[in-house]
Amino acid sequence: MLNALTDHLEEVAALILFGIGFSNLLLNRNMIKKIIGFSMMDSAIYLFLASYGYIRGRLAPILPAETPAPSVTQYVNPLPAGLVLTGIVVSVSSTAIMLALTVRLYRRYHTLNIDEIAMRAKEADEA
Amino acid sequence: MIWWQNIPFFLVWTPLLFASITAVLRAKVSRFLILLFPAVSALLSAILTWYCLRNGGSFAFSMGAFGAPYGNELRAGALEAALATAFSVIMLLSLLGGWNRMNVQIPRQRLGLYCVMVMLLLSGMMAEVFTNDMFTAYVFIEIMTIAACSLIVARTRGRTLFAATKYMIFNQLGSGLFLLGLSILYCLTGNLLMGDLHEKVAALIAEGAHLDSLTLAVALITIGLAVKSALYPFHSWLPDAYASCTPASSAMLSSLISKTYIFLYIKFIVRVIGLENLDVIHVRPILLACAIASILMGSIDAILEKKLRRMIAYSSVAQIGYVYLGIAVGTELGIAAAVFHIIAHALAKSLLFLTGDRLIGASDGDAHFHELCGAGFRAPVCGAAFTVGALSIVGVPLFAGFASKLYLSQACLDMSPRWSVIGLVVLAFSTALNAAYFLITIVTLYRTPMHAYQTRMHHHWYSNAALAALAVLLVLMGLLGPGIFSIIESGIKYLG
Amino acid sequence: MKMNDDRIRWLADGSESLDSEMLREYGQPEAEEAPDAFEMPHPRERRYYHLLHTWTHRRGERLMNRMYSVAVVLICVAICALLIATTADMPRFGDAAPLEDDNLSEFYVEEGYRHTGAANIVTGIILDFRGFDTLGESHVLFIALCTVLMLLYLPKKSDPKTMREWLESEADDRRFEPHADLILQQGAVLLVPLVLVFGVYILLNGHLSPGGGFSGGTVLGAGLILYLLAYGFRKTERFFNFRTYRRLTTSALLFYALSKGYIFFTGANGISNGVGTGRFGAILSGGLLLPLSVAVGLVVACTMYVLYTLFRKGDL
Repeated sequence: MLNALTDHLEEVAALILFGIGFSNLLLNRNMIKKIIGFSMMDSAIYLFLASYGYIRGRLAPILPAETPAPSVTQYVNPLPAGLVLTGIVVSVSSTAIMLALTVRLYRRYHTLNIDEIAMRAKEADEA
Repeated sequence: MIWWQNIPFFLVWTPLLFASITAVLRAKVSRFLILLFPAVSALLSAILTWYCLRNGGSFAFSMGAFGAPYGNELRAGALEAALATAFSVIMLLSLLGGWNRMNVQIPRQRLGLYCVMVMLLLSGMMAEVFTNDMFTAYVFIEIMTIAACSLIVARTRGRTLFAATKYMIFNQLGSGLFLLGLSILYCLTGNLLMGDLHEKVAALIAEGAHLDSLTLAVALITIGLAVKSALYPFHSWLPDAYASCTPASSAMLSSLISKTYIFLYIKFIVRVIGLENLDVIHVRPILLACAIASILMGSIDAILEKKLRRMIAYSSVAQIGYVYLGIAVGTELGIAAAVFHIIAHALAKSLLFLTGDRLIGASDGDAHFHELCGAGFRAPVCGAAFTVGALSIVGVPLFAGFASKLYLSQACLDMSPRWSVIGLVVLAFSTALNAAYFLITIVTLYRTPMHAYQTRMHHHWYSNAALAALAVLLVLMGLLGPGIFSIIESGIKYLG
Repeated sequence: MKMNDDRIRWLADGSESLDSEMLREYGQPEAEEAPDAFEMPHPRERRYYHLLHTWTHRRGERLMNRMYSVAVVLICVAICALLIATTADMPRFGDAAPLEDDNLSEFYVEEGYRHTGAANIVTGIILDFRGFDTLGESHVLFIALCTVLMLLYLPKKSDPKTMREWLESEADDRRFEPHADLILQQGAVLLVPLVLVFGVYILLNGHLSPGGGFSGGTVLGAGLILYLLAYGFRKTERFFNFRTYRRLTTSALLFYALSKGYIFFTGANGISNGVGTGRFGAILSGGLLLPLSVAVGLVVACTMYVLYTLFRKGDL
C-alpha cells in the first residue's frame, strides 16, 4: 500500500478522484451534483490512462521538422494520448445529454432532487 | 480479399454514413430509409453467413492499409454473421410491428431525429458484433447508449424523462467501469486488439504475474457490461425504461441493445480471456451467483407486478439471467446455448412488447391486468402472437424457448456435480415461475371482459404481418433448433 | 408585446405536408404531456415537498438514509482502497519497462510518420491508424447533439403549446442574459478575432504541432459563444442559423465518413489509394489528415456553439 503511494502517485491521485466522483454520484440526490460526480469519474479515468503513457525524461511525441530519425527511446508512448482524446469527447457528449435531461426534468417537476422526481413520476403514473 | 469479405465493413459503415444524411432528409424519406437499411443489412449478413459457413474459419478486415495491431480491425465468422442477420431481421420486424404506434406517439418534429437514432443504433450494433478492438467497442457502446436514451425519450409522455435519466445514470456508470477496466488491461498488456490481448493475458497467467490487477480489470469490465445488460443487482433501470417508451423502442431496447452488450461480453470472455483461463480469474462463481439471482428475482418481481408491460420487462431480467448462466458454465456448449438463447429471447421479447402494447391499447389504454380480460378477442392477431411469444418464453415444446432451455440444461451438466444440480434445479423452478405468470396472463386475455371497450385500434396489414413473422420465426427456431445450434457451435470454434 | 403577436401569427400558419398525410394515415397524434409550465412556485409550497419532508424526517426513515450514506461511503472507500492496492501490482509510473517489448509504440514512433506524413504522432494515430475510433467518436458528438435537440429544441412552426414555451424561453433569455454590456462588447472586439484566428491556427497545424480538429474546433466554438454573449442572437443569426448548422455538420460528417470509408476500403483490399503524404513538416502534408482535421473541427465548433444556444433558449 505504501509502496503504491510512493511509486504510483499519479495513478493513486486519479483513483482517489474516481472514488470521490463515485461517492458523489451515489450520495447526492441533486441531479447537477450527480452530473459533476460523473464528470469527475470520467476525468479520473482519463488521468489514469494518460499517466500510463508518460515515461520519465522523454519528449512529447511530436517530431522535429528537419531531421526525422526518431527512436522509440526518445518519446513517450503516444497511444494513451490518442485514446484519452477520443474519450474526452465522449464524456463531453454524455454530460451534455445528462444536463439536457436535467433541464427537462426541472421544467416538469420543478425540482432537482432525484427522490422527489421519482416520487412525482410514480404518482403521475398511478393517477 | 474476396468480395464477400467486404460485407462486414459495409454493414458498419453504410448506416453510419447515412445517419448524417438522414438528419437533413424529409421525415417521409428517412422513415423509408430506416426500414430499408435493416432489410438490406439482413440480406447482406445472410449472404455473409452462407459464405462463412461454406468456407469455415473467420477472417479479419483491417480498417486502413495497416492491419492489426496498429490499426482497427473487424473480424467476422459464421457466428458473428448469423447474429448480425438475426439482429437486423428483429430490428426490421420491431420497427414494422410498432410502426403505427411510433407514428402516433412520437411528435412529428422528432420523427426525423428518431430515424437518425435508429440508423446509428444499427451501425453501433453491427460494429459491436464485428469489432475486434476493445477501444472501438467502447466508442460504439457510447453511441448505442446515447441512441437508446433518445429512443426512450422520443415519446415524452408518462415517465419517459425520468426513465431516460435513470437509464443514462446507470449506463454511464457501466461504461465508466468498462473504460476503467479496459485502461487497467491496457496498462498491463499494452494492447487493445482482442487477439493480441489474449496472447498477453495468457502469458501473464502462465507467468503468474499481475494476477490481481488482471482479475480487477476483468471484474470491472464484467460489472460494466452487467450493468448495461441489466443483470440482477444492477437491473433497477430496466422496468421504467422498457415500460414507458413507444413499443418499437422497447422491442429494440430489450431484444437488441442489451443482447449486443452480452454478445460483446461473450467475445471478451472467449476471445480475450479464453475459456481455459476463466478459473484463474475467478469470474465464474460470481457470474453464476448473479445469473441465478437474476433468474429467480426477475421472475418473482414479474409475478408481483400489476401492469403488463412492466411484467414483460421484469421477465427480461430473468431471461438475461439464463444467458449469463450459459456464459458462466464456461464451456463451448454453454456459450453456444447462451447465444441460442440470445436469439430465441430476442425474438420472443420483441414480439411480447409489440403485442403487449396493442393489447393494452385494445383495453382503452389501461395496463392493469384486470382490464385485459378479453383483450385476446378484441385484438385476435395480437392475442395469438402474444400467446406464441409467452409459450416460447415459458419453454413449451415446439417453440424456440424449449430448445434453448434444453441446450442450457445440457450445458449445466458440464459443470461440477454440485453446481450442475443447482443449475438444473434453478432452471426447473424458474420454468415453473415463468409458467405461473405467463399462463395466467394468457388465460386473462381470453376471459370474458367485465365491461365493454370502445377503442378500436387501426393497424396496417404490414404491422400484423411483422407480428406473424416473429411468431413464425419462433416456431421455426423451435423446430429447426438442432440445425441452428450446429451453426452456432461451428461459429464458436472460430470465435476465439 | 407587438413582436410576440407577430410571432404568434407567423407560428400559427406553419404546417407541413407530412402532417396532413400522416393524420390521414395514422390518426391523431398522441398528445404530449401537459406542457412544461414555466412559473416556478417556491418549493416549500408544494405538497410533494411536504410529503418528502415528513418522509425523510421520520426517525426510522432518517436512520435508513443515514445507513445508506454510511454504506455508500464504506463501499466507495473499499473500492478506492482495492483499486489503489492493485496499482501497487502494476507497472511503475513513468517507467519504460512495459514498453520494452511493446512493438506498438515503437512502430508508431519510428515508422508511423513515414506512412501518415504527420509530425504529430498522436494526430497520425487518431486520424489514420485508429481512424475508425475517431469516426465513431465524431458520430458520438453528432448523436449527442441530436439527442439534445430532441430534448430542448423548441420549433417555432409548431402547435401553440410549444409556441408558448418558445415565447417563455425567449423572455427568459432576455431577462437573464447580458444585453449590450459595454465591457463585454469591447472585450469581445479585442478577443473574438484573436480566439478565432488561434482556433484556425490550431485546426490547420494539427498534424505538425499540438492541436488538431477537436481542440481547434473547441476554441472556434468558444470564440463564437463569446461573440454571441457580447452581441446577442440578433447579430449571430445573420450568419449562423439552424439551416447553416445542419448543412455544415452534415457535409463535414459526410466528407469525413466518405473519405475514411474510401481509405478503409482501399486499404483492406490492397488497392493504392492515390493519396500522397507530401513533404514532411510542410503545412500541406500528411495526405488526408489536414482536410479531416478541418472537417472534425467544423463538427466540433458547430456542436459546441449549438449546445450552448440550445441550453440558453432552445433555438439558434
